[in-house]
Amino acid sequence: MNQPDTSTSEQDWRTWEQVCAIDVCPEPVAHALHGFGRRRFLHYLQRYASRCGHRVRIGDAFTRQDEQHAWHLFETHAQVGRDRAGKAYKKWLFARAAADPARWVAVVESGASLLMRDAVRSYLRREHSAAFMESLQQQRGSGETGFTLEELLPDAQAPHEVLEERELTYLAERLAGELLPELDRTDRIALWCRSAGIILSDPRVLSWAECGKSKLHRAYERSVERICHRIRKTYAEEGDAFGLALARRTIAKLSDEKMLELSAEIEGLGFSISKRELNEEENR
Amino acid sequence: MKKDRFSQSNDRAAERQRLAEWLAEWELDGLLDEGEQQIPHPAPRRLSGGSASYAQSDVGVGDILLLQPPAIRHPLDRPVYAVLLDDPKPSVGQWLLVPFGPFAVPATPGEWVTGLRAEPLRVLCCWNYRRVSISAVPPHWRVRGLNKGQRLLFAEVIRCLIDDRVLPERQRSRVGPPLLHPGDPRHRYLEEERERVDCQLEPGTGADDLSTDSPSAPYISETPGFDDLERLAAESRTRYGLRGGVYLTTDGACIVAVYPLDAERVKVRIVNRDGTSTAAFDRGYLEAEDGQRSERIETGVAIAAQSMAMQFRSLVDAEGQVRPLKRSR
Repeated sequence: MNQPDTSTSEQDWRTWEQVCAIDVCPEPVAHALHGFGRRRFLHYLQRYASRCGHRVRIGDAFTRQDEQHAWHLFETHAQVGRDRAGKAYKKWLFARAAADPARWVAVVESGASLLMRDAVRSYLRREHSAAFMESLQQQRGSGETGFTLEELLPDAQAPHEVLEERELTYLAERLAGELLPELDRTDRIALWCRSAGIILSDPRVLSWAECGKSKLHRAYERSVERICHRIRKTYAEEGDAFGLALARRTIAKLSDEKMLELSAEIEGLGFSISKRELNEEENR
Repeated sequence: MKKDRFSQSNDRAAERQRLAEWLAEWELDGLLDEGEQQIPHPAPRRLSGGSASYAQSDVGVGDILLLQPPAIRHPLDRPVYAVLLDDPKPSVGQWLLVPFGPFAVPATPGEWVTGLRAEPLRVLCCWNYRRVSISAVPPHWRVRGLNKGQRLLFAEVIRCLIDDRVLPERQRSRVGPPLLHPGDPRHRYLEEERERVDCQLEPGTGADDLSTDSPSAPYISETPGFDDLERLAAESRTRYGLRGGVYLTTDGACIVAVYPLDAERVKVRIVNRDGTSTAAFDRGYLEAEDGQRSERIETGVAIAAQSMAMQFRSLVDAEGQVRPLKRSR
């Protein structure tokens, strides 16, 4: 395909909305929208390929054919029915842009890009997914270690068959004491919030932690991985069910606001007292 | 009948396969998500006088809606589709608004594969429901309705999940795997999805009448405690997102929060509506639908049998005065 790139105009989008199907749009309109669709499709495909190049090759016959039909992929994914009501996503695109008339076209294109991203994700999942070939022992997720499927869903094995509950509690307390100095303030805030059921994007939490929610999520995930990594190393022979049981008890110990030395800050922040006191009750 | 170890092993294998599929889609989404900063997004600002052309229509149970974008944009918003369903807990003038999820694979036992072919409607996030007033459904466009058979099926599924009943056998393979591990990426996904729907239903968009009993109310924990997750998984419960139950006195003055204590008991805490402690019911007790009573309330706390947790009906003070309870979650 060697068609030149063209940017879209408000008229292109309005025409498409009125006539409903790109196939009956005037040629210049169809050309502009097809071009937009192809560019966005390739953008996401190349982004994926740049990180997983062994799974999809941009430029082979199969992907070129799909590139031709990128707009069709976009529309098929976004609509929930063939009638006008089923294509209400168009109204969503334009209503979104109505709030920012100075950048109307850019906002419509950004909304369409979001929808195209979802369409490309579905396309990649259908055409290139190898999830069923993944090993149970392959570590998933971000961070230094990640977790295997077996760790995330261990075989059902009651911990008391492996170790008495009181020994688990003792081990958890000892491990919590060892790991506490490794937690910085952001880690501690993230752990406490998760245990208290407060979402990390709560504006009070963000103000308290003086950072964004992404950093708080990473802090929480890093802390959990650190705990699990230590357990994996120390108790490698005990199995995943034991590891999970000990990890959960250790995290519960570490999430106690007194242990984290956050009590005074929490008091002054105005989080629901009931939630905080309930937490104290449960940890008593 | 208790399952043998072979059946349990098969179940776990199927759950891991489903989790692998979900993780694959989650990771894929993450890979495609970066670079969005290069694409202009609408500047977040509140519109004066409300947004243009919020077209309200007559809607009812079984209708699938596309919610209109909120006045203040979430940076990476997506269209939110949701279905209106009857509230299994009879409540005057309220429906359940249950959103559909972004992925093709259910994440947790609280997400269910609908069988609908349209890609935005493949998975229903039952755990992320909201109660909405019939007279104040958030601004939307109606996109389609469920047929009679679908309405019955959806109603059965949501009823099982909210009432904490086991799903029918034929539906169990259509929900996600249990969430056990504190490091599971699904925790982050759940927070993001909850936030995404919260953002859609902000005040000022016609949803001011939203019940404060919704899962998004800040004083109600949405994230199950870790001990809850294991118990929920062990009992094959498909409810997700409920920590143990929350009740309100019918005058709205007090909250009764239920927490799992151990395999046989729950702990109940009675607080004022503003979250402060109350001793108003000390030396009283809680009563369940079947007549069971909790232990005596002391310093606002009582212990009760696990079997009572889902069926408290009244709070009785030391003088014998009865305050009826209504289940919030």
